[in-house]
Amino acid sequence: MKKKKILTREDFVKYWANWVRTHPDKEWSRQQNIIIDSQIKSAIEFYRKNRKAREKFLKMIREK
Amino acid sequence: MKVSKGKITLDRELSELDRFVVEFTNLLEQSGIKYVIVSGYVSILFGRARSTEDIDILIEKIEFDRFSAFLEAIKDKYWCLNTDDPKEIYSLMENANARFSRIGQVIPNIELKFPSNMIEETALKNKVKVVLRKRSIFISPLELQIAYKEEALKSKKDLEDALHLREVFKDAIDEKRIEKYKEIIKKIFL
Repeated sequence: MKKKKILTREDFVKYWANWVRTHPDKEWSRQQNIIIDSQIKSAIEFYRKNRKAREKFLKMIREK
Repeated sequence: MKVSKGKITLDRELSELDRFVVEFTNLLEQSGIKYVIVSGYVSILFGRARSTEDIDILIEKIEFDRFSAFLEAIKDKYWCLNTDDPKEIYSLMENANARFSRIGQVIPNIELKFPSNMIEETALKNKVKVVLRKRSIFISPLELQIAYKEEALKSKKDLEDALHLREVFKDAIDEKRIEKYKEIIKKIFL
């Protein structure tokens, strides 16, 4: 029986980069934006709803 | 994606992060301030499958009065997360960085600073124009990004960012330039 190759993170990074290189910008960016936009939206919501977390974040920055 | 000397044309759909960056850099340009975007966002702009909460931007060293006028120009849209005092913000820019976000938000934010070493000066001097549909932004040379991530930062995330850029721009990257930048980085940081 043929063994399945386990993909490492490096393999995935190369695979995705190759996909980006060989596909139209609009196509890969639509997929990438699903990740980016959802993360940004949830982070904004998180700090909007969690006053304590927001204050802690600001305190950390101001004490640096 | 089209690559030519000193210019990359990208026909991507803009993400929320891209819109945030374009908006802020437009304000820098309107104030006549030269800037360059460095670090993680550069890989993300070209498709890396991750997001970021902060965007690193270097701006040319300007006098306090000019910087203060810039703060005045952005005050209705952006706030500095570190402090409200313009002199403190300016001082932070010289020694570390100052973070700016849209009013009422903390994320995403721009980490703004003046160049503090030869590598950062080189990034600003040799910036590359990226045409994003009808807009344009300036980024650090790709070779410098790769060299910095592989030689100075070296975290798993940074090495993957560098690998992504190497793969996407495999036909355009100048390996000799990467090595040259790595030698400079070694002299500065090691």
